[in-house]
Amino acid sequence: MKRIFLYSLLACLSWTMQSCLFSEEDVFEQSSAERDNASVAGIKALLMSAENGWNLEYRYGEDGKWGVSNIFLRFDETDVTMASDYATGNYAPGAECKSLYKVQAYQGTELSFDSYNEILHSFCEPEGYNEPGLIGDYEFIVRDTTSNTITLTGKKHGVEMVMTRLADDVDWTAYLQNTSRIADESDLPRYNVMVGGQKVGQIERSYIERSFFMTENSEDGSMETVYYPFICTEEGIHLMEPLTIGGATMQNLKWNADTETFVCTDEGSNVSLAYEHPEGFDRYAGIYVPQGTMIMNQLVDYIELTPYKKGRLYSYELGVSYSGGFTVNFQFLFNYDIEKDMLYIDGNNKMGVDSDGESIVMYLGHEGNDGYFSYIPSHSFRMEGVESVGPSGALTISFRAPEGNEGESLLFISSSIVEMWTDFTLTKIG
Amino acid sequence: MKKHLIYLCMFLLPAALMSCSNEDNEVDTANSIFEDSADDAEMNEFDQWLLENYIYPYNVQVKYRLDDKETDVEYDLVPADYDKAFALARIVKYVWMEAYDEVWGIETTRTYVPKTIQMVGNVAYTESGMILGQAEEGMKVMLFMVNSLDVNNLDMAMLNEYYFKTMHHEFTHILNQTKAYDPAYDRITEGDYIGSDWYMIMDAEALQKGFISPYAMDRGSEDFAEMVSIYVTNTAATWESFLQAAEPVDPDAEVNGRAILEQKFDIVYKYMQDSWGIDLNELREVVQRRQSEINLLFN
Repeated sequence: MKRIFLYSLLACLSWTMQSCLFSEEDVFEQSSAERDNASVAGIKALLMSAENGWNLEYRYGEDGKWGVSNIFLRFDETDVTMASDYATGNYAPGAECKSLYKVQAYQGTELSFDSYNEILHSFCEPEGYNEPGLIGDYEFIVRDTTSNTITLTGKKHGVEMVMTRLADDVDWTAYLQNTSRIADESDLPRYNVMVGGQKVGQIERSYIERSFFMTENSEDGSMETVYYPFICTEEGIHLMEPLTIGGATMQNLKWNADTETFVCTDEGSNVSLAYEHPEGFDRYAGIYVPQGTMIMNQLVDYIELTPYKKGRLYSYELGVSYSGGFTVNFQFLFNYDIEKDMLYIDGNNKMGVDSDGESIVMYLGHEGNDGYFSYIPSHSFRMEGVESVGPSGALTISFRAPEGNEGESLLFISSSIVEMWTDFTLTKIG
Repeated sequence: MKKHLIYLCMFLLPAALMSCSNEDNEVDTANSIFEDSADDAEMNEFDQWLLENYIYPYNVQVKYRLDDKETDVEYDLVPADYDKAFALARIVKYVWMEAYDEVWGIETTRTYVPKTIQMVGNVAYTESGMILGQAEEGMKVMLFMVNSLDVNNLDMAMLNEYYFKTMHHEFTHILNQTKAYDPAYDRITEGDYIGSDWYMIMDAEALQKGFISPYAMDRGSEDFAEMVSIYVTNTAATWESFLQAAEPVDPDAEVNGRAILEQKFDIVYKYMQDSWGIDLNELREVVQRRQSEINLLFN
């Protein structure tokens, strides 16, 4: 009896599994694959429809906060032609670079720049382990489109950017060289925020990058750097978010190179940002005698510091021929710290090229007993200058290795040379 | 009776599971919806070349455009440059695949060559250094640093270090994954493998301890692949100079790097000869000759 019950249960179960006749209406007329295809084709057609191309407001850096570059893109069936206003070691603003692109169905519809382009990928290439470079993206998910705008989100870092159709009369080279010039001319370390001639605060400008920043007290009491990225426009800059300091709010500013001032063009605003040159900066120009242990000591009697970037950097340039037949064009950069009114050496600075055209990089390190050099593979260090007055009253600056690395020297390395400076000190003689 | 009931149930169950046909929505198997997708777009010159030189003869797909499904998103990778990837594909075919063709015939190369080669523009940085190549389960080889190739100024030492050595190294892994080598090999210097700390070792120190390179100190399989790749990409004289550098400075030293390297090479040579019918000396000769002829590819 029990068995019969079980069998009938089994039979009943099988009846419940019967499928029904298809009677529901489709929500979509086409299958999901067909809709994917249509979206890919639609976006590709939209991209190609802009005869003079698109302007991508390309955001880079952590959370897209370090800056925004104008990247112009023109699409054909298989290739994309780009130009930007952001210079790199191999790229001068305004020049065009061509590469491949692909629109495909992936997490929605994806626009991928999957062959190398000097302009775009230099934002994405890391410099080493734990040194991510400019943290840019080159694969994007298409979020939204109108006939004149395409909203993209970086696939890896998730930063949203907007691409706008360029008017037919925009001259790529002229536009990008102009915005690049504004970015470069206004690359000054600190601006006073003025309201009707009255100073209400100040803000720092990132070196090379297109952003302002301030160091603020965070909620937990620690200091944090807050960035305000901007993009360069025909006449000045446009801040991605309105910025408020000391009650003054601004978003669009016009650059005046003669007075080194940004004037806010927002309606009813009387705010401006004025560069105030730090007086202390100028006193470091001149001729110095280098001391300490240097391989090139025998070649150099004195070094001359000349202003390299206003308010920020001094450079010392030197061509050296080593006994091995190598010639090297050193370019030592010394940074200026406004707060401390003192020079320091920043590990991130590029140091020129050797005779093979290969760049020379700077590290902290030392020479071991076996004759091998070993170094700390990181550029994030700072050697502070310490001022003292020499016997004849001359300005003397000793550069101190950072805390925790006191025993280390400065190493300059390329594939063909190694130069080492230990206990590096400069004494001003003129 | 019982059995009949079971049969009945078995008969009824599939009948119940049968789904109903729906004539309005029949699948159109004759036409693909992907016919006009981007993959079928016009092939460029490189695609066409790859079809004739990699896909038809070897059934190998070279992915020169970066595909993030083939790579590890943990690394910040950038795509390869089109022209450089094209040049490298020609070099790889000439110095790597055709060298093996010459030694053991194209049929065997075709069988064991990895089916996907993914090219990447830069390198993958890890805590213990840079990754120049990767082989996965004999199916795929990744070639990094393609954008460092300077076609107008081909530097043999650089090509060897970044590409050829990597290719022979990865291919050795594939051969090892197909036919295992003598486990006695791993025991020769078993206590000296140091895993990912290898990057802290200098070349000279590795040689002194009986390893052909610092990376060989990672583990046995890497050691083996380093032996093959360094052997075939260097001349006999250079190989001998490595062995000399491995000789102990102190004659009473317990460790004789040269003796260890010779013992290891003995196993490597026999493995390639017995398992694969490859005379490493012949392979080296072919590779060296082909390396010296690379410039002809671009004239």
